Amino acid sequence: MSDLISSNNPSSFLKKFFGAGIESFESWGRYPKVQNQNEFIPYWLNEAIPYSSPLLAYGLGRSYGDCCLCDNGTIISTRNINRLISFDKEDGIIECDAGISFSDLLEFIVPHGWFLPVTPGTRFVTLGGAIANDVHGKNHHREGTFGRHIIELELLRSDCKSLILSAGNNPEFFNATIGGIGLTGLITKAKIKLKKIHSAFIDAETIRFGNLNDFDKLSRESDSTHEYTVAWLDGSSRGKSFGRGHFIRGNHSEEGALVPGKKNPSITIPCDFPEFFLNRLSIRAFNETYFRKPLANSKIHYSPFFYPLDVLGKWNRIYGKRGFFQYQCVIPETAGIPAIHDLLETGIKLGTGSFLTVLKHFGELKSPGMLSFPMKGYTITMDFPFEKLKSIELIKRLDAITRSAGGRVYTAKDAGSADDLYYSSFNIEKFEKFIDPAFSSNLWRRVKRSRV
Amino acid sequence: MKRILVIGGTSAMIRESLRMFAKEGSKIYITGRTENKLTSIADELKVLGADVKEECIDLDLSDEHLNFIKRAAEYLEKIDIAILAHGINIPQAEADSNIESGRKMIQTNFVSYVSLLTLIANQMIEQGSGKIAAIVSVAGDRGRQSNFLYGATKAALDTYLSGLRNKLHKYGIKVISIKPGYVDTPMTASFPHNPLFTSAKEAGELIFKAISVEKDIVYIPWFWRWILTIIKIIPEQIFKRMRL
Repeated sequence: MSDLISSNNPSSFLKKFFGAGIESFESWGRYPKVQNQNEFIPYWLNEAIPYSSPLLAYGLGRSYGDCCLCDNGTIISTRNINRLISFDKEDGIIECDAGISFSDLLEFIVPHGWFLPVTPGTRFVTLGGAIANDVHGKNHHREGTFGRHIIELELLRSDCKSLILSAGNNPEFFNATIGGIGLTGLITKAKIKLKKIHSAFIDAETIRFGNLNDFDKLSRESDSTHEYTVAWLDGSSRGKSFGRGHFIRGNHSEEGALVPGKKNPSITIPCDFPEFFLNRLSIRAFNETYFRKPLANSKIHYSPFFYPLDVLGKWNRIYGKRGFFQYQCVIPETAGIPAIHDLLETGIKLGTGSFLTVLKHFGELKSPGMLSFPMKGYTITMDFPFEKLKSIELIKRLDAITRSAGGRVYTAKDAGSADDLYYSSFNIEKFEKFIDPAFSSNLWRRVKRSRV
Repeated sequence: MKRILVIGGTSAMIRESLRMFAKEGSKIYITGRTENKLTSIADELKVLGADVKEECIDLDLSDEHLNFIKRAAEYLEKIDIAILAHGINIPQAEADSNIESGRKMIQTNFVSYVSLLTLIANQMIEQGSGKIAAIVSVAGDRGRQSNFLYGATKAALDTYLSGLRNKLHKYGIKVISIKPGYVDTPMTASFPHNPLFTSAKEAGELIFKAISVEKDIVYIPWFWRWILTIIKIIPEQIFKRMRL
């Protein structure tokens, strides 16, 4: 299969011109690019890996930066290791192979009256990826991270030993694996506790706000009344409009059918858009239009509520070939809204402005994960087209704000933040003891290089 | 409730079709050659809502076939659908240098099908109804230097199924020939994956549909019918010079 990447291969030739092909193993942001990476796509885990280490698991490729890439190594695609193993309908406990997608999982559990305890903004992620990145969602203030809902998981190590890990069984290994960005070995199975629902619908409400302080007020009020809260921010307007946005909150409805959402995206972006498509002006225009759209407060299906972008397949192509990066950090309560203000302002002044900006107030529930990202405070997410040196400078400036606020950056999004941020945020020395010697990633090598 | 017999149930494509049958609450008798794979697939079908019995058996040799069909029919009570999906793909170069491996492929891909299909057809005639779906391949439509022995086993099966369909029509029994093109499965893992490849999931769902609507011959996905139509009309004079 290694000849797949050689340039005289007709399939990569077609891939190049049509962007087609069965898939490519890149990160969602498509920056940084990966070099000399083998791809191993097993159906069963009894096969020997025909390529050299370092190894790294790869699920559905929804990590934005370089934590899912492995230069000069081999990625193990888990997309075909996706079986349901057992399901307890009464207690809502499900065990699955790690390669199952949240989309497939929801399709199965929703009709039985169960839901994911925590879900990120796309359902096209794998269970293994959700554990390895210890993902969070709109209910962080109530449920914490996804890692808090894992009853047990199985980890396959490169010495062929299988470890069963849980809070009671080998807890330190368990804690290192949750949020361990795939470095402790290959997560093969997991058992999770689901959330009971009576309807597939959400009683949702969207409220316009004019500035960041209004957001803060709304968010604090809603924490006790709503299970799901998040805000969309206008990431490109200055002056009077600075910091405006929509506050979105919701609760699981008591009424409505238990129907899963559509399986596939409605539309798939067929090819890369030209790079000039997203620029300062068009991003500004998009944010302006979006802010002014009529708001409907009503009962909506969980799909548009949690996964609005999933209707658009391969939406990362709108940024063109150059790719994009998403900057997500968390700012502790002490630094609060002023730091968020600085981050947003820097994005507008230095970059093109952010195409899509999301702000959320995290609660205080702690994750068991050693490298888990969330902490009590505010998390902001901004998307920028990648513009070489300009973007590198922008990341540096955003990092400086995060650093002085005592914040953290998110491994799943990070495409090049300063690596000292990891050393100041986590106990890296402690985590390192649990790393599988045959596993690595571009992100990890970057973090290590900073200490050489 | 549909009662389904599946031979070669560990096929990646068929697993996806079975998942869809399982969600409808079918009763499934499933066989495969590798025990742990078979068990994990059977377990999943049970979770999805099917009533499942698995049997780990190698059906290459025909002396077991009669008893096997009896066991299956006894469990299912009636065979509504029989899906035959077992098969191997020995690379042409290996078949050229090792006659025995080629012979084995003929045994698995064709000889065992004849014996099983005969028994299943008789059972269905007795029942007065049923559907038979068998996996053929686009490789059976024309012999190409890259895989003509594999293609020949599939061509033989294709012809056999066509005759069987003709024979069983008057009994109201359907015979469905399924012709997948390139599908992303363990069988094709070593091939370079070009844009013509279909995922096992998509192929499995198309097979499920084809069985449900009782097509006679179905290409998976549809465009292979047109690709093969073109390949078949190339005159032999020219075809023999091509590298396909």
